[in-house]
Amino acid sequence: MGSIAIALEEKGIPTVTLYNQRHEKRFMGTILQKGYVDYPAINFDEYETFTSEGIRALAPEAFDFMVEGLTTWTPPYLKPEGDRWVPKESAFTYSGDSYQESLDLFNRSYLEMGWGDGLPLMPPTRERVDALLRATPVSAETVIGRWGPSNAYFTAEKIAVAAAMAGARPEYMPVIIAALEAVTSSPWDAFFPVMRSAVPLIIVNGPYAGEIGINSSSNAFGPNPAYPANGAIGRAVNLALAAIPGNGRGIKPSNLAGNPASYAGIVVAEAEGVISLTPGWDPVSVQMGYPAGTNLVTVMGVDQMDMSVLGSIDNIAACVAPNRDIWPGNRKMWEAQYAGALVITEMQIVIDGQMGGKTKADYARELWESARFPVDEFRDLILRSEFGEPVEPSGFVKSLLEEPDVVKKGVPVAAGPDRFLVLVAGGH
Amino acid sequence: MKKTAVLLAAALIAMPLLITACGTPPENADNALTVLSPQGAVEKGKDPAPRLETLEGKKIAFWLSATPDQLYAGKGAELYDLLEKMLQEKFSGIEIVHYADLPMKFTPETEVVDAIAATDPDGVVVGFGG
Repeated sequence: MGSIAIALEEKGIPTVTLYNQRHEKRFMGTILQKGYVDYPAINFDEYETFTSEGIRALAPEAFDFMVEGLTTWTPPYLKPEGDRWVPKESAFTYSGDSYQESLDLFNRSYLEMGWGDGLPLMPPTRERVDALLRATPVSAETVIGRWGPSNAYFTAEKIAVAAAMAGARPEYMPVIIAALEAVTSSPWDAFFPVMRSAVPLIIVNGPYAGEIGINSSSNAFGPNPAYPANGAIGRAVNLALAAIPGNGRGIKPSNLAGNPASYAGIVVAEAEGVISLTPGWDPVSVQMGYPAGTNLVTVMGVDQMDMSVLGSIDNIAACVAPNRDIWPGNRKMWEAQYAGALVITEMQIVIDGQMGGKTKADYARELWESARFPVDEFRDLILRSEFGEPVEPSGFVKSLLEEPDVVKKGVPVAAGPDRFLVLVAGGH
Repeated sequence: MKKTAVLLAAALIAMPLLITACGTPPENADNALTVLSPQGAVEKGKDPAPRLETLEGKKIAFWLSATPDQLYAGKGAELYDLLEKMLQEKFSGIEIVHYADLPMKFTPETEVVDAIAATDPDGVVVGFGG
């Protein structure tokens, strides 16, 4: 629908789009990705559009917008400035009868504008943002990356605004900036965020993790008052990714069930103290090619987490299903793409690693061998069009299905064991 | 009595000021809170087609991305019927290209775009899902 609207605009025919809300993210993503700053479109609550009564109720608003869209419409939130479009409003002031009321007004307003996650926001005042910026060596105008459907500029200052909203401390900024540099190095996809809800898994290696209190141990992926950094860093990254891009009011949330990790993110430090005692257990930073002790942030997009308590690799392997939306289209992507991260607890490494001699590589191989699917099951899951019709394999997928190892043992979800990151965190 | 009333009034006025001073937030003494926008700048991109000066005397096409019985587009057809009527009531000389006279689907895209453009509309209403 978005492509058709834009194709008509490019023929010089003005258009306006009316649609139901479930299509918003994909529609506006398509528009912005095609190089438009904004576009006259209005959406309506989906369930209102399913009944004649609902349609009659929204018709007046639809009519007014339709007329405006074809005649007087201009981008409401951005204005041209040199070679960029910048927000019309760089700051907002809220005045209540008390400070508390002003704070409440700010929170409600930001949520109405699409900025926030529903939890209370800390106010990104000039003072707070400057304090966060002083904790980094980069200037406020430094562009850390560009990302989103309209390739928005992620400057250090805008990242600090999101970090302030999340309640992050200044010492968290180097990790937040590094994580966003990693995420913005990968292009935004118009389709994938609609159908899935990937969230950055942020793995922090090196002594800095301990200095600022990122948890690697008990309840590493959950809340722990002794380790406030994990949640604040994750939330800052998620808020930045949602609020900085878009057409002035952020990127809309996923259409489907969503991901609870979109609130506080998935941030963890690797338990390097434990793994340094065990041969064959190099930290992720060393696996990535850096010297031991490097302060490193590694980011992987994940859309599900599964846990096997006292279970086996087979249990976990059964949860790693092939995914049609992200199945690689060529061998180069197949060999480059990671399939997931396997987290081994500190207790498990003591039992299997120190006492049993098992290494990270052993775990990765075991998972790779187990996470395989019969060819006919793979065909049913993967070889389908967007509308569910079967398609014949071609190119890379055809050659993969003909490999003897695949014919004999099933289709692996990853090109090799090294396509699983193995890290140690959680659990005394 | 008058002196007492003045002193009492002064005390009453001073008390709110004291209370305010104790509870004053660091940002602003009069409770206003100024916060920065998280919205980032974007590169100058393409401009959409120029808008119409008026809808009087114009030909407006309505394109629906699905047939009226397809659920994912809601009751977009009913909305379009209403909007077409409202347009004709409000603007004189309006010509409508009815959605049923255009392909009610969104693929293949070029076929849909060409069919709409072939009606030579001045403007197009696009909807309603997909």
